[in-house]
Amino acid sequence: MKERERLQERRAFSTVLSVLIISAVVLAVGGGIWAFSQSAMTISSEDYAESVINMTDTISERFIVEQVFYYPDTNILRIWIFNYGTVDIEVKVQVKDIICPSAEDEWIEIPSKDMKPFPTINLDASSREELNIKAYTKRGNNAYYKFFVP
Amino acid sequence: MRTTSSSFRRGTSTVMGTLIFVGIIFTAFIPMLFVMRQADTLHEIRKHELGILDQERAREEINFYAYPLEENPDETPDQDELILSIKNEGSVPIKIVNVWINDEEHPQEVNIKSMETIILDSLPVILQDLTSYTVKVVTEKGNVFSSEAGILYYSSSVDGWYTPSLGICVHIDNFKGRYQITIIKEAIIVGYYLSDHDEHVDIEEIFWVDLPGTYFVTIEKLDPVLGWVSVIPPYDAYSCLVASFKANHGRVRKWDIRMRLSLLFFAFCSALDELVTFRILSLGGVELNPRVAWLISINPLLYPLADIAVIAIAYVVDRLLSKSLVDSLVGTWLIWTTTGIARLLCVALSLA
Repeated sequence: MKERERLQERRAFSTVLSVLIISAVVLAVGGGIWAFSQSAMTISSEDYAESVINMTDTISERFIVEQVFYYPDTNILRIWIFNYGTVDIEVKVQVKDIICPSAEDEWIEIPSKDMKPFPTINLDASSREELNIKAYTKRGNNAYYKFFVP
Repeated sequence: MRTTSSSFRRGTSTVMGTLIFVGIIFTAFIPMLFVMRQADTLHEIRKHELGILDQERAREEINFYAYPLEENPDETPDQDELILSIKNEGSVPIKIVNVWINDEEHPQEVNIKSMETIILDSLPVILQDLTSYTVKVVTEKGNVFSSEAGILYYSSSVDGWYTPSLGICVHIDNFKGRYQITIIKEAIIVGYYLSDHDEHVDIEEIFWVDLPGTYFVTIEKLDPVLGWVSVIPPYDAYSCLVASFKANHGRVRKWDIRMRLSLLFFAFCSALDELVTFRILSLGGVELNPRVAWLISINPLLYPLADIAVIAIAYVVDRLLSKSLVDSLVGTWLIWTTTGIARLLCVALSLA
């Protein structure tokens, strides 16, 4: 009888232990999954939000070629860009095959609601010549302007 | 006892697994959906705002003129200053942020309500002889408007400013009344405008003229008792110098269209008349017009040839009138239209 009781007590101990072990495993695995899920979903949501914000900024860009002026005596072309949108932009302009600024990683930053002149462009254009000026941003938006050399 | 113990163990892990699953749902998945949804909402709001901004931008419409400063009509205008008269003709308020005179910018902070006209402070101009000046106005919403007067030119040899399009623009501010405007050059009326009825809005009329020179502009308002009264007392008329050596083509084009249409009408009526005439003659009829009868007696082809010659002469005359900028009051299109109607009457008589 005593032996039986003793055995029953031992079985209870192993039952509790196994429950504890299973619980610990469940907690450990579950916690791991939880942590992984949380970090993965946080990263996903941040990436998504960032991409949406970038997309919003891209569609929010509003700019025009405000003024173009050609100095025939010096063969210099000047261009002014007006950013009338709500986001800051980085712009380059292209006239014929000339890109300004010419360096690949150099862009002209124009804050929102601001207008900036571009560096002067040396261009040999004849009178009454039609110049198609393309201004484009780093985000990939374009604005075009047709200019007739006086 | 064993059964109880086993189910207890299964229950514990299931409950804990469920709790963890629910925890993941509430602490990771739902916030992620919430952030995504919020980003989408902000994107949609921004898109909507941009749509409104673009619509408002498209609705911006202004009409402005740049002209030299002239405080007193008797004095010579200050040549090195330009005045801008800007009228907001759109349905949305407009904010002017910049004015360009060639490559010179003149930043502004001017708000103009819908249908309001304002005169900007005079803007300095660096005068250079024989130079063209382009005047532009930039709005806050990114529209650029050019002066209705076109490009201004400055030349000291013609006493200052002039425009390549020769025209006199008369602008009467928002006064109620019936007006008549007359443009006179060397005692000949070259332009006339009479408002249909009492006006409640601004009157703006552009009279294109063909030649440079001094024109007199009279502006009169109908008084119920006194009749037509000058609105610029003590003067009877403005003396307006149109200084340019370049011809205007705006009005000529208008005349050209009328001329062409009237000529086409004349040609159509002639052809119809000829067809009917030959048809009746082939059926044994008699030509009553002695000149036509004489032509047909020589050779039937002479009749259409004569008509073709008349139309060709009419075309040449019209072209010459257009090119030489002879006063467009010579309404040749009326002659061609009347002749065409006369031919139609002949057709009707022949058929009768």
